Amino acid sequence: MHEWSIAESIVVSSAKIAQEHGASKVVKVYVKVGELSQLELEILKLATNELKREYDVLKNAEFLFEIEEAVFKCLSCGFTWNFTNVKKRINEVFCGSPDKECDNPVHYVPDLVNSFVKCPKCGSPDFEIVKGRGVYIAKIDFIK
Amino acid sequence: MKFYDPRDAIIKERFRNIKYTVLIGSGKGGVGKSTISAILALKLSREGFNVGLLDLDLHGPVIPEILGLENTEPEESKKGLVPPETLGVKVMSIGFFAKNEAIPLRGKAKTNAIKELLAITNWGSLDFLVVDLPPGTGDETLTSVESINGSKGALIVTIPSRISLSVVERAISLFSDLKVPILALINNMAYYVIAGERAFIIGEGNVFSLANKYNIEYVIEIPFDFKIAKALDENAPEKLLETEVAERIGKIVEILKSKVERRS
Repeated sequence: MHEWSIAESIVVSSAKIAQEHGASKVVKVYVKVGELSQLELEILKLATNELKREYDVLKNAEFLFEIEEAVFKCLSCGFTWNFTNVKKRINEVFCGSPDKECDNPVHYVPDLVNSFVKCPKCGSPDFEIVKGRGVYIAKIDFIK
Repeated sequence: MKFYDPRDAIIKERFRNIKYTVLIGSGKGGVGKSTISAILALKLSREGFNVGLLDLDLHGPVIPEILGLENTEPEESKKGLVPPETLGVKVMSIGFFAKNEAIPLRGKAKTNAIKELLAITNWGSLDFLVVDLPPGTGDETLTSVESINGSKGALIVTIPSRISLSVVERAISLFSDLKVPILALINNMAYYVIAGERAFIIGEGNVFSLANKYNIEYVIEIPFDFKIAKALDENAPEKLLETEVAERIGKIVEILKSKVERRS
């Protein structure tokens, strides 16, 4: 259900951007969803389609979601790696097995990945999320 | 291309129905910010106000432990996460998510974590949101002040040592530069009463001089109070209200009352 809260932020933000640009009608909103946030795109689509009705300027807008792959870089040894490894670790810690998925804190606050995952090469917790962290609006098409 | 962070707009929405935000800061660690934050929130709630308590100490989130909520988790709703509630205070902390793990974050990641907490928490309508800031004058303080819109003021906590006062002055200077009014300077652990006499066991730094220098109207002196340690060790947050510390914090409640109208 966290997807509903995220959808609300996307809808509120889109309406604000439209207002700031003097748009009369928003046509398309392109949203990038970081892999690390583990958000379900189908629920995001459903939620944005329902919530957009509260704003006239968004009533006919199409929200397009695209997953952004997550990349991590160790600030200790420089090693880079992707989400597959991270996801297995998160599953292991919270769901009891690398292949079993369940609710976890990284879904809510992606930056907490540093609390539960280590660099696969040197074991350091000091790494950065290069990309694919959370949600952002990449582009909005509108009519003035 | 300019990317838009949807959290910025929703944070403004989340704070629309919060009448006044009280930032509890210091610059110095170990001066009692979290305990004072918790007691202030409990006192305000007992006075009949709708109160939230936000723990932004990313590296040492202890508010859940102080209030006996360490085994609690926020619940999901369609309008964001619902903060757990105890003794009339709604509480949110990164500690609910990180549990006992370290949170080894650097600058940008700290900012992201705080913005995420601000964006996902649905406080509903509040008279007061008390924010327990971490020590220091870095990312957490800057992000909080810049992201939290609406009326706000700061309470600065120190202990009476010369060393503490020199660190705390930096925090006062920062809040002044950020145009956040400082409501009071709290001199915590100011003295210990032995056989009716005050013993200044931590030091006798001139707290009043510092307050005068920055035109801070109120200095609240809080003595050592062993009932605090007892209440914390017993995991009995309601007993925090039966302490001399709570009585002294009553003065802050009086200062804050003028900021909002009481709920009906």
